[in-house]
Amino acid sequence: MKSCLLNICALLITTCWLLPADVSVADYYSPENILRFAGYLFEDGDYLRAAGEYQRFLFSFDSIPEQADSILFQIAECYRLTEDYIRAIGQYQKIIDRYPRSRLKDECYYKISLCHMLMGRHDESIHFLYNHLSEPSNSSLSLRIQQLTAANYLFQRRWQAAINLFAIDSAYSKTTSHIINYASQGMQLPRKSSTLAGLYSAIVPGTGKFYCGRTVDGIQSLATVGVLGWQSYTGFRDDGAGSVKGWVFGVIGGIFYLGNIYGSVVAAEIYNEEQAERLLQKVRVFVNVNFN
Amino acid sequence: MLLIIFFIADFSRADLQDDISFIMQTHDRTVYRERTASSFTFKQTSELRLIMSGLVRTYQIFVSPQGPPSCNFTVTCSHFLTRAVQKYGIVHGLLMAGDRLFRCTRGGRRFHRIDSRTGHAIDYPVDTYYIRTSRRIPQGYLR
Repeated sequence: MKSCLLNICALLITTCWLLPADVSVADYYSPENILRFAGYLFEDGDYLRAAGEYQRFLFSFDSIPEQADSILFQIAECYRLTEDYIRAIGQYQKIIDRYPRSRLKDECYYKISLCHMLMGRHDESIHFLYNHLSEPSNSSLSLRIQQLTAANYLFQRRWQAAINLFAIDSAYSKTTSHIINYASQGMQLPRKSSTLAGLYSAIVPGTGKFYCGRTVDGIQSLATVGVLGWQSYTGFRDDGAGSVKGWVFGVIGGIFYLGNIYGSVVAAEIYNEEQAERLLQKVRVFVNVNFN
Repeated sequence: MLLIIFFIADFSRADLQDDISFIMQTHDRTVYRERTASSFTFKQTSELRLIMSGLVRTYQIFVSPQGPPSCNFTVTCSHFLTRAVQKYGIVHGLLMAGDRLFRCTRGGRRFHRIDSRTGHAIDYPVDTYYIRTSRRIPQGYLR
């Protein structure tokens, strides 16, 4: 019993001796450290956890802190960067509603418009800019608004409207020159006439597909319609108008012939759409990299 | 005769799940809802469409499995025809299917994305080939 007590005492003394005399434990839950940690998470790209930490920072005050608008802005940014645009718009709108005199108000309007654009709501994005940011507070924001409007026009394929937004003689920023370049490319996209494609295929089956660059489909059309037409012709030639072979091949051939015209018209339209969509894919990448 | 039909049909039981999911996809369920609301129209229940769907289904169950898979697309041409007929009627459906058969070639694959799982080309949805539509290529389909 005695030895057991002695052992416990020895253990306690050793433990106390090993502990450092002056331990300054960091207060991880102090508002400053929460904010620092949130900033660290944001920089690290862990946006959702950063948003949580920013919320915790706001929660740690009894009254609303001075920089609440900028913290709310950071939360909105976190949602935007995680592509949760609906929640981001809600947060930006909260800043506008709660802090009407905030220096971030114009920026919030811009970001809401940006979110609309990224969601594919281009009309809303443009209208939002015109309604709320017709007189921007500074020239830098003014340029960004122009660029955002132009990007919306690009997505709407209003190439000329995008170019018209920028003055011809002014020195362009890098982003602006890219937008103008994309708009110029959009205006010069190769196009195929659906009427012409249909007409070609009506005259010689498959040629409409050749015109649209689909050579193999064209050969297939020409061969199929040609063979069916020939079979039908031989049927009627040999047995007259009552030829079963002639009618069967004639009907099938007729369906394929009309299908070939139908397909050529659609192929021309699809060709035009593919050209525009390829360009817009580049624009999407450009917007994701340069608009923030 | 009935026994033979049942015997053949038994082989297709493995595809039953696929068939049901296919029917669920191709048959517009709103039609049934509208039907109960007494707005029964000829267009919604066209016998021609039913006959065409039945013929394609017969082909899919009894003819197609006899040979190796030959269609170059993941949504096969027969499924494409059924969908087109169901959605746009017999005339447009047949024309769209005729065009689809012209496109179903090895050479035509280079215009489409390839499904890594099946090795077949991924064609645009049926809607894209409808002549009166405002054409938009859905994201992720462009090669």
